[in-house]
Amino acid sequence: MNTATPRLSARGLVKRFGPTTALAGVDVDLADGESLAVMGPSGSGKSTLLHCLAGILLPDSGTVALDGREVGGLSDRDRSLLRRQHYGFVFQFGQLLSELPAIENVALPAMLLGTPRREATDLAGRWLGSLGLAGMEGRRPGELSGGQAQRVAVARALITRPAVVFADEPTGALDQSTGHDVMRILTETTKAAGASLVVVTHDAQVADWCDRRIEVRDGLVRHTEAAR
Amino acid sequence: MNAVLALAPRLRRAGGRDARVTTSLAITAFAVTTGLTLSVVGGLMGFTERAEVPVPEGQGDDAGVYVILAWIAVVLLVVPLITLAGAAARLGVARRDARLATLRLLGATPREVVGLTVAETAWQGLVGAVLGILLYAALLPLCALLPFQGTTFTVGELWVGWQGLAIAVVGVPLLAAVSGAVSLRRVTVSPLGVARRETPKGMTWLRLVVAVVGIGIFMVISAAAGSLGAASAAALIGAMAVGFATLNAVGPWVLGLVGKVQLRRARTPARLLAARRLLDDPKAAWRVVGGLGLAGFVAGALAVLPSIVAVDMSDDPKGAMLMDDLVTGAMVTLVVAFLLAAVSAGIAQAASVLDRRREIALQNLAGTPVELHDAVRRRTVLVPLLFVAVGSALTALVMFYPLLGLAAVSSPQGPLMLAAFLTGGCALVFAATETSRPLLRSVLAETVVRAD
Repeated sequence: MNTATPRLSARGLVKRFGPTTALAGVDVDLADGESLAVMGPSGSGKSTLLHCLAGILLPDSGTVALDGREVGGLSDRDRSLLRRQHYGFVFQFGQLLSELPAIENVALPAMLLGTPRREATDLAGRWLGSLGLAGMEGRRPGELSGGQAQRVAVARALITRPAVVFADEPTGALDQSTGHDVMRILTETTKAAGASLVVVTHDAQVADWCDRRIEVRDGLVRHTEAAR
Repeated sequence: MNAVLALAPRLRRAGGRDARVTTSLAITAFAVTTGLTLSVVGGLMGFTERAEVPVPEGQGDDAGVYVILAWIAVVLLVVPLITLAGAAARLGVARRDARLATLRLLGATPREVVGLTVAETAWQGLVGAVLGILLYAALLPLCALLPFQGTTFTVGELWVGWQGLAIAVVGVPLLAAVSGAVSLRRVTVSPLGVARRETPKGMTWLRLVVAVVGIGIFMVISAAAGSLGAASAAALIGAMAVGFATLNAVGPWVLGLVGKVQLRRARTPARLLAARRLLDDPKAAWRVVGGLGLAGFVAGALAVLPSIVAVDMSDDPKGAMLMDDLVTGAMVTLVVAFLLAAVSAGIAQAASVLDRRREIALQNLAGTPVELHDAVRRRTVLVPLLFVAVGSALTALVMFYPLLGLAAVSSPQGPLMLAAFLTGGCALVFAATETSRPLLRSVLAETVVRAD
C-alpha cells in the first residue's frame, strides 16, 4: 500500500446550492503523477467536485489539501494564486483568448508568473512543437480545428509545470477520433511533465485513458476502479 | 405571422440578466441620441425662426450668422450622435450572433434571421426614441435658459413640433433596424460564420489617402471661401462634414498602427493583451474613444475663440454680443460632444465585457488575476484615448489653418482652453468606461460558465 502523502486529497466534501446538495460527503485521493477520471451523469456533482478540488469553489464542509497543505482556509486571492502557480486547466472550449495567436496563448500563464516575454514565447514554441503544432504558432484560435485548439490548451495548462491539471469535459466539443487523440496527448504529456490529472467526463471511452476512475452519483462517490 | 419572427418577443425575454443589461444599455444610447438630437435640432430651428422674424432691435442683421453657426454645431455633433446610435445597434452582437447562428443551423432562412434582428433593434430604438423625447422635454427648460442674441430662448422657439417628434419616433427605430441588420451580415452568410475568430485583415493605407484628400478638400475650400461669395458658408459646412467623416475613417487605421507599436514594445501580460486587443479590432477601439476624438476635433477647431473674442469691441456692442454668443455656443457644443463621447465609451466598454464574458470567466477560473482584466481594460482605453484626443485636436488646428491662421495658438488662452477641455474630456470618458467595472466583477463571480 502506498503510504506517501497524496498529491491532492479531499475529505468529507459537502457542497450545497440552495436546497440542492451537489456533494454529500466525498473523499478523493490523487497520487503523484496519477490520472483520475471523474464520471457521472449530468447534475451528479462531478463538475462541482472538480471546482472544489481546484479551489474555485469552497466546500460548505470538508477539506482539500495539496501536498498535505490545507487550501480551504486560503483567501480568494491566494486561491487564485494557487491555481495560477500549481494548477493547469483544460476546459471544453473557449479558454483560449481569441485575439492572441496560439503561441501567446500558451506563453501567457508563464508571463503571468513573471517569465519575460521572449523566454515565455520560446518555451511556448517548444511546447507547441512537442504537441505536433509546429508551424501553427501564429494562428488564432478561430483558425485552429477543435482538436488543435485543445492541444494548444494542453500546452497552455502545462507550460507552468503545474502539480495538477484539471480537465472539464476536454473532449466534449470534439468528434470521437479527435477526442481520443486529445486524451492520448493530455494523459501522456501530463504524466511526462510529472503532473497529476483530474478529468471530468461522462464518456467511458475518455475515462479509459486515465489510471483510475470514480463515479459520482447524487453527490457521492458510488464506484471506484482502475480503468486499465 | 412567420413562425420564426413570432419568436422575437420570447427570445428577448429569454436572454436572462445579460440580455437585460444589453437591452438597457442600447435603449439608454438610443434615448440619449434622440434627446440630444432633438435638442440640437430645436436650437437650430430657434435660430432659423429668429432669422426669419427679425426682432425690432435690429438683431436680424446678424441672425443669418447665427443660423450658419448653428448649422456648424449640428454638423459637429451629427457624427458623434450617429456613432452613438451605431454603437447601440451593435450592442451585444456577439451574444445575438451566437443565438441567431443557432437558429440558422436549425434552418431559419437569412431573411428570417435579419427579420428577427430588425424586430429586436427596432423595438429597442422605439423605446429609446420615446424615452429620448421625454429627455428632450426635460432638457427644454434648461436649454431655454441659455442667453443668445441678448435674450434667452422661449420653450416655444426650441420646440421641434409634433412633426419633429413623429420623425424621431419613426426615424430612430428605422435607423436602429438598418444598423442592426448591417451588423449581422456575417450570420446571414453562414450559420458557422460567427463562431470563429480569425486573424483580422489589416486596414489598408487607402484610409490615410482618403483622410489626406478629405482634409485637403476642406483646406482648399476654406482658403477659397472668400471668393465663393454667398455659397461659401454652405461649401464650408459641407467641407467640414467631409473632413469630419474622414477623421472617422482614418481613426481606426491610426489606432491599428498604435497597436502595432504597442505590441512590439509589450513586456507584461497586460500590455501584450491590450496591444493585441487594439490590433485585433481597431474599429471597436475607435468606437470606444472615437467620440472623444471627434470632440477633440471640435475643441481644436474652437481653440481659436479666445483670440477672436480678445479683440476690443467696446465700440461695437453687436459684435461683442456675437462674440459672447459664439463662446456660449462653442461651450454648449463642446459639453454635448464630450457627454456623447462619454456615453458612447461607457456603452461600448460594457458591450465589450459582455461579449467576452465566457473567456474572461474561464481565465478567472484558471487563476488569472482580476487585476489583469482591469489593467487590460484600462490600457485598451487609455492609450488610444490620449492618442486620439491629442491627434484629433492637432488635425483640427491644421485643417482650420487656411481659415483661421495661427489664431488658435497666438494667445495662451487658446491652447489652455484646449488642454483643459481635452483633460476634462479624457477624465469624463475614462470615468464612463470605469462604470463597466461592476459588470466585470459580476462576470468574474460566475463559477459555472454556460456555453453560450
